[in-house]
Amino acid sequence: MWIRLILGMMLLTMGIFLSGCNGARESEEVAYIVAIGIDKAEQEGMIKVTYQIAKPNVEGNKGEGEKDTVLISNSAVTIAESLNLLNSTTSLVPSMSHVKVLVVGQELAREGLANMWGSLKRYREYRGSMFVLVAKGTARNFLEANKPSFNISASKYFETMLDSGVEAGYYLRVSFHQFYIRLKSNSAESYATFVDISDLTGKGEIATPKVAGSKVDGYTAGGIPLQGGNPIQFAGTAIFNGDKMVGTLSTTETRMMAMLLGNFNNGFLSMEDPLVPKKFVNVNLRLGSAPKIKVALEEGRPVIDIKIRLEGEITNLPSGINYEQESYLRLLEEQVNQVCHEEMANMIHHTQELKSDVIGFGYYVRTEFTNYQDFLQYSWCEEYSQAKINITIDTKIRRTGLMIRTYPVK
Amino acid sequence: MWKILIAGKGGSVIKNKKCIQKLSKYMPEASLAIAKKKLEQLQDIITQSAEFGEEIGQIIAQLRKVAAPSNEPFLFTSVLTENEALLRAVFRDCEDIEFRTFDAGNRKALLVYLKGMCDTSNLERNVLKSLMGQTSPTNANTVNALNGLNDMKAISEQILGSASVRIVKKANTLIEAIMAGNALLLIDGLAEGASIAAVKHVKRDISAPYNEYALQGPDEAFNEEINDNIALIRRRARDTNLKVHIMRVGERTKTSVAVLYVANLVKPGLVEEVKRRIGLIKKDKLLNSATIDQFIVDHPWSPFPQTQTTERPDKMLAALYEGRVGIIVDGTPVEILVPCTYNVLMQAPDDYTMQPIVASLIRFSRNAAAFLAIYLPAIYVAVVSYHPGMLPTTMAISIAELRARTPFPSFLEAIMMEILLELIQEAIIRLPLKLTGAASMIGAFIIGNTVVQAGLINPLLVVVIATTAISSYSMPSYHFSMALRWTRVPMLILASMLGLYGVILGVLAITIHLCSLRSFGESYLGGMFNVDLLSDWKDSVVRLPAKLLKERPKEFGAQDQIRIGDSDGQSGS
Repeated sequence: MWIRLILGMMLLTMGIFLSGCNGARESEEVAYIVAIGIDKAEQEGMIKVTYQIAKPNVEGNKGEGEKDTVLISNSAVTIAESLNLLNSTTSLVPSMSHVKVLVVGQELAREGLANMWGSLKRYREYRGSMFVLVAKGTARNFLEANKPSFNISASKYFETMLDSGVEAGYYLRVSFHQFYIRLKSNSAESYATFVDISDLTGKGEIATPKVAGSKVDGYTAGGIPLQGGNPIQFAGTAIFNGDKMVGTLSTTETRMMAMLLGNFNNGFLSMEDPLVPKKFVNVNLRLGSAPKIKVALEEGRPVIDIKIRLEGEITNLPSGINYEQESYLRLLEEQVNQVCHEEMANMIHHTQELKSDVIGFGYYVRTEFTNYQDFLQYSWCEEYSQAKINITIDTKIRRTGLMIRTYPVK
Repeated sequence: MWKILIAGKGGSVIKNKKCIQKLSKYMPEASLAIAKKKLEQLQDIITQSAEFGEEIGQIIAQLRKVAAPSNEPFLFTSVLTENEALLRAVFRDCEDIEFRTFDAGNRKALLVYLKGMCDTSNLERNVLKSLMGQTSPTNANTVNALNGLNDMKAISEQILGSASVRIVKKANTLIEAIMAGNALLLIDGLAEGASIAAVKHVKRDISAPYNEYALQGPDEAFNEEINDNIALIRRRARDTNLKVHIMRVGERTKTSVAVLYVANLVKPGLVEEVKRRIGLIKKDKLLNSATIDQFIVDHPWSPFPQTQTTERPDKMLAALYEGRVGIIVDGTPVEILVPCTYNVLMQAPDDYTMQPIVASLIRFSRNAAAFLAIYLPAIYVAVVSYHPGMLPTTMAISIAELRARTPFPSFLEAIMMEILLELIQEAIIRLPLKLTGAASMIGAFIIGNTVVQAGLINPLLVVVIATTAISSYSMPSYHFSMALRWTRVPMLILASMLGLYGVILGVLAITIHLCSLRSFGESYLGGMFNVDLLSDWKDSVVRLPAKLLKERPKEFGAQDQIRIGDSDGQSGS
């Protein structure tokens, strides 16, 4: 009994004094950083890091229009150095545990991010769960322009924004960890959500369809005609080759990419009416099953077979043709197949030109090699741009919406 | 008096000197020192004489003991006057003892009883009347019969009308019987006494349980009288296998302690162990069952209760039929059940009157409440001061906002709140009933509003502590909820020093402690996680319909495991 008691006391004292768990910090002494922006600094070889820090609303009466965050930028050689600078210039201790997004300026992203990743991944205060964004302009401007139109905090805004984006498939969210995994992999290339600031004139360039049968073409961030609301836009994808950004995908391309990644939830597709090309039809699509991708090697050249099953629901039929009927339904499904096929082929072709396998076909080609060394010698990145692509899209329109047939307007 | 003396003896001198002087100057015997000395002498004499008196009493007792065995104060003789003198010596200065001398036939008889403990009308009817009636001339035959009777047995068989009469020769037993409220009958010429059971004393009626209220259960609760308490059990089971063994504990109070068990169910050896432990108790007095509890538990230093206490006879009977042992202590309305495990402490009588599926959910929330009651404030302090990254961002920021208004660290805030809560709880228990309403109002104001407005404690912590308090109130066992309250503060300290690491250390320590506790051989918490006892879950983690509870809990090792479907209820006997 006494031995137990003494042992217990000894363990407890050792636990207290040897554990090094003395990092208690009261929550009001901590500055919660919500977003980090990284840009090229004006000085050669330095970076400009912008921190968006939540400002606790202490007095309980916030002035109208006052922001609940502060933006602090400093220039340093490395991110870690910049953090120390921030620490010494603010009264509170910065905490990285609530960082929601990491915004990278396009200029810096195109130059390459290899130097940055080390400290972001290695130092434990940074969380792998933050999302990676690439801003068309500078990260600082993007964070400055962010004015959530609904009464939510900046952190909540980023969370909900990146959650809801998944629904339409116009932009994909990618966490820093996923980004990093692809960065070091030689089977796939990284991508990040593309963001920009809109001028809010409502007069953006009108995208003309490039694909026969389609009614609209994609936008990239900043290009969506917008009037009112939050000026910042999330649209499209920035794609990388190695650690360098090489281009962007538009919203429609991003959606095709989502289909191939298997995380396309649902989205509307507007097309020409197969029988009355001047009118349009609108269907709501979702993935019928996970995409089936096979990569074979024919004389050393990769051949990629893609099978996608889509399921749809009619959402609008202005022409009044009864596509609900079995015989007409086939026409509609064919139209979806054709449009999607072409859009997907364009998207893949686009990435092939940029030599950036963001979809990760490299993961599927590995089975063709007997060992990993062979695969490493194959230089997938180069070969991908030469790959032959076969796409099969099989669409089933399952539902006709809440109307079982269309009656013409009288 | 003073002045008169002064005036009488030395008034003129005082006048001459024009000042007040000490009385002792003129009256040496009035000096304070001398008076003190004399008083001390007087006190010495008084104590000495008291000692003398006691010694003389002891000498008398020893002289009388001469003929008696070593453990008896005296032996009854056949001379009534001598017996009376012996009894009066034993009962000297007990002025509530009544000696009633009367004639039975042509002999003298003596009735001795305690005034407040005896039913005098019963004695009048069944003893005095029947014995004194013998002297009336109309009953010449019986007078002769009485005169002819030379032993108490015949008298009790033929004349006394009392329900329970015991012939006793030993003085010790008789004295104890008198002290328990029986009446003693002595008749001239007989060297033995009859102890007549006519106990009647003030006692409380059977009332509803004060602390273990059940929504839809029986409302009878134990009271202070041991016989009533045993009767409450007996009345519920017409079973000869339900045994009652009465022991006496307390060298001076000689309190009755009854050990109840069902002979053909109880785990072999358990009853003997309970009896052994009770027998080992060395104590002058026994005022409540908690004392017994502290003597018989295995680990008296644990904060957790290792015997179950109940004031409900139905609960005790249910436990007896699961193979457990009940201990009823005279003078206490709260009785003891052993062995006791975490499971039985989590069972409330209402679980068995509710729908099984509802009861199962309530059992679950009760277990969750037990967890919250210990760990919630600790987790709060650990997360807020060490791991704010675990919180949703919005919450982390809003906690920072709340915390910015209060000056103290989270740990101090939590401790302050705990102290406040303890004070309010203690005040409500100690206050007279009419004031508790006022106290709880003030408590509600302080906790609910003012503490926050005063900027002492942030509202989130108030929510946390209030949740904790409510959780500990929902325990069916008061002692268990007190144990939860006790463990909370060490947990808080651990959390404030080591963060979640400390909380996990504390969880481990408490779990290990609970698993290593043994109550009469049964593991306190271990039974919950024992694969062999998995079938006990049907009445511990959940509560199955009564139809499906076919077996008794294996944990208590009942001799007969089958609860439903014994052919005659006598198997194993």
